[in-house]
Amino acid sequence: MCSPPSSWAGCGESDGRVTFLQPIMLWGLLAAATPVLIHFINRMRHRPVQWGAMLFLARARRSSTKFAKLRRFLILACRVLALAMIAMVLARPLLGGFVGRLFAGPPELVVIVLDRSASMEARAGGGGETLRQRALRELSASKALLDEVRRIVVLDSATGKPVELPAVAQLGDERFWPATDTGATMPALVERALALVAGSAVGRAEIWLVSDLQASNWQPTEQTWRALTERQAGLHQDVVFRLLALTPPEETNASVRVLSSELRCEGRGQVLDLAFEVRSPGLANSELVVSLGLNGRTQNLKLQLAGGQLVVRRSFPLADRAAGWGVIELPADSNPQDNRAFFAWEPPRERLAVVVAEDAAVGQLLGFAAAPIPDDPERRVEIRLAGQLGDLSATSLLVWQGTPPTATDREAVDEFLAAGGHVLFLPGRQGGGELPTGLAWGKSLDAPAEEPWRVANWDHANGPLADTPSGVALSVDRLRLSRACPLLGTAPEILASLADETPFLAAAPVGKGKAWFCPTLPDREWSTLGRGTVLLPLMQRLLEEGGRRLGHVQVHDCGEPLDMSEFVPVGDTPVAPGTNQAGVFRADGSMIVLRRPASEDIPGSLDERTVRDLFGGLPLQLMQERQGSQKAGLQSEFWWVMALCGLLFMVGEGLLTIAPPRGQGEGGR
Amino acid sequence: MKTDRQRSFLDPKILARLAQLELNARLPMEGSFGGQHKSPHRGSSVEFAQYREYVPGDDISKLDWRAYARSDRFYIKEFEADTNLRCHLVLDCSGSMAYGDTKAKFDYGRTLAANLAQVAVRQGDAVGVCCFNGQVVEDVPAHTGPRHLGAVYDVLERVHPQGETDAVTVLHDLAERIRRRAMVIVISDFFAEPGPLLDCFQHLIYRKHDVVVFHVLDPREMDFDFSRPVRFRDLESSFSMLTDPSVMRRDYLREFAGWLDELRTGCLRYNVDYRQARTSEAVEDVLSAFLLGRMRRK
Repeated sequence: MCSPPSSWAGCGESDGRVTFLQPIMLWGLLAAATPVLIHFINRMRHRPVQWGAMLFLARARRSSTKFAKLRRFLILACRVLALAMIAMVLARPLLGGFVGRLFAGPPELVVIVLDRSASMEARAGGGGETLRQRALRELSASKALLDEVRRIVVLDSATGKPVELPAVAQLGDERFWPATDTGATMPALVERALALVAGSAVGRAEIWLVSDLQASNWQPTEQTWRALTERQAGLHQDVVFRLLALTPPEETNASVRVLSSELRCEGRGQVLDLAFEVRSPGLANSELVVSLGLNGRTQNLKLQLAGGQLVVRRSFPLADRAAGWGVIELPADSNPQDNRAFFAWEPPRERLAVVVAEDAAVGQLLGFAAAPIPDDPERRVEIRLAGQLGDLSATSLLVWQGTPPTATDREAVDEFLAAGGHVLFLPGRQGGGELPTGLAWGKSLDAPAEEPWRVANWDHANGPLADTPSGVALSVDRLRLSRACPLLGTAPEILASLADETPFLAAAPVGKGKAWFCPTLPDREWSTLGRGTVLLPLMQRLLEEGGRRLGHVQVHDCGEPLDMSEFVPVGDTPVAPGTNQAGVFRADGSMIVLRRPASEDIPGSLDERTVRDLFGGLPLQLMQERQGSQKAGLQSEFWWVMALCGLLFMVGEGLLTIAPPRGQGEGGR
Repeated sequence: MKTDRQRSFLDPKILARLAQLELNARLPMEGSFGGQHKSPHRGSSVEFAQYREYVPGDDISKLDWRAYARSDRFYIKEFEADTNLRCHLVLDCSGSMAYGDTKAKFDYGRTLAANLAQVAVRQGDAVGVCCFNGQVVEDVPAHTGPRHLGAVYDVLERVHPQGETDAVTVLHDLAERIRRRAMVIVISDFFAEPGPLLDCFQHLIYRKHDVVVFHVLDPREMDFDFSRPVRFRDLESSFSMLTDPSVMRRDYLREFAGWLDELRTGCLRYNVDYRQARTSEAVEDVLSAFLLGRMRRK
């Protein structure tokens, strides 16, 4: 049986202020002064008349002064207010609060942010509908409301592109919103939805958020949420947010993810080293049978889970050195979408590191860290000189120590970076010099003798200093720096920093590649980096990262913008266009492995309070399950009220100015 | 001396239309000569009036023996005495009479007076004219004859509307001055409080005069048909008022109608022959209606 549908987030309400969609039309209020001007001009344009019956005029004035003044004032007021109402109508006023709700009508635009990430495929009871299917059903149930909406736009998390629905019925059609293996970045989607509203000249809009509130998708620490409040304030119209929160099932769910798949030679044969991770918070200390497919041949593996997470490393002998693909499948559970992980391998390729160093000793050390094993067919290093870079097309990693490259070297390095290459920059002994991406080395600085600098923070999860797959941290904290050249400028990524937040390892994307920066040298006078416990894995990982562009197997997350037009699925991977489905795809001699983003495997959903905090003061409303009461609106156009008032003022003015019938003048007969 | 043809207020067509009409009094008049109007006194006309019981001293030649034979009592026959009419034309020449959208009320009233004078003199009656504003401006006693009519016309031509109105004082004074029964025709717009005016009429009625009132009004004064703001300047004083007529019209008309109704009702009550004359109406129509009415009543 399905779990109870839709729990809805709490409310926040906007105040009762009046805003205008076309505030420039308020200049028309100046026209409201026209009747007053005409009144005064008319009074100045009076004509004199010689009159004999002053007796009656005097009596009439005595009896009519009081009411005549009031009547004149009312007539003038009606005229002024009628014109003012016309100007207000043209300015398209919006009124919030309780009064605004009185005039609420259907929104002109509804932007539906639909979370179609892999976690939305969780289903309750093993055979019930998925969260995505439930969401589509709930949206279809809102047809009565949506039929009154002029425009419906769906902002799909899988594509990130807005799609305007020609018919409401399309919402409930699963063929338009199939399951995906993609992730979702809710802050960016909400920001894009607000941009859509801002770009449309509508008076009232709503943004419907349909999601399972997975924390890794909503990224509650993201700065974007704070900026949303400011963006909302800048809009002419307030936007109503409605949240459809789909509760994930409480059943246990296991997910699998491939960490690495490398082919190596062992003796005369080939061995596939496979590392994968199984997460299952609810399956602690239990046995799990997984299915492993290699080039279409399946075998079962028995795993013993302990602590809800397991990293498996197995080696499988292969018949040949050819590239291949595989898939790991877990038993069916509440979310079948994360039960499969695809991988591919290719014959080992050479990874070439080119080292350019001002200091020969440092260069030698760097070269050793890049290719520690002599005659290693898979790792090779070349020491080159500045000005003699040569061809870098087959280079996985360029290490440049010393004054940053200039002239032709700079062009070659820029070209290398643009093509996807990775460059590690280390300073010269004197420091100084401009680096790519607008950064520069400062002059070398010495740490206090009795207190050398230490690395206080680094990224344990990502980057070249990340923990090992088994969870062991590198000994980055044991590094001691005696001398360093500070990095001048702001690097986009800081992967490690000293206690005073000075970057120890920084990175900056350049073109398709990336530039890395380390302010110290593997030299005794500078640091203990030369001991190798950090330098070696750093170099190897950079080498690996930089060599990916040269490999024939590329691994990407589902949802990344890729040109898949030449690729066809291999094996039993689902045949679906685009990059929304995980699988292995082949074209010519290349393979692409589309995988589910790692964020989708991180369990944990936000609670209602946290969601409400994310929206801060923005109006976030519960959507009523009973669609008949969808009348709540926080800011509504009420121009029709203004128009009605203007009409009433005009009628009132007409009634007040109606002259008495001429028959009253015939009383003398 | 101007001839009648040169008078601006005399129109031969009007005179021609009134040629066959007579000016008759409703009450017996006290004239100087014999005329066509009844006298309050008994006279030697052939028209039997009434029987009266004989008292010693009566002329026994007037005894009616047939009445004695029937009743065994002595009765004297009395006969009507006919005399001429003394008509006093009282014309308002105050400033308010100068108003007229198409024709000034004064000109209209003057035409009325001139034609009435013509009719009276033609039938041998005496006519006089009194022009007043705050006081009597011109006063011509009633006399007969064409020559006197010319004098009346000279006065009418000489007078121009100006000054404030004080009809009440003038009419009271007139009531005291006119000793013998006469027809007093007052031509005015009567822009004053109805009460004192009616007192004047009552005073004249008390003096046994036949009072005729020609109430001359301009249609615009009655309709107050103004649209744009107007500064009204009083014709009789320096007072002025800037107002929006559309706002005041209703109250003005109410005041005017109330005043008119009170005046008219009072005239009827006191047996004053009230005739309203709008300046938009033809003078001959007004006069014809008046004269014919009097002729039928005779």
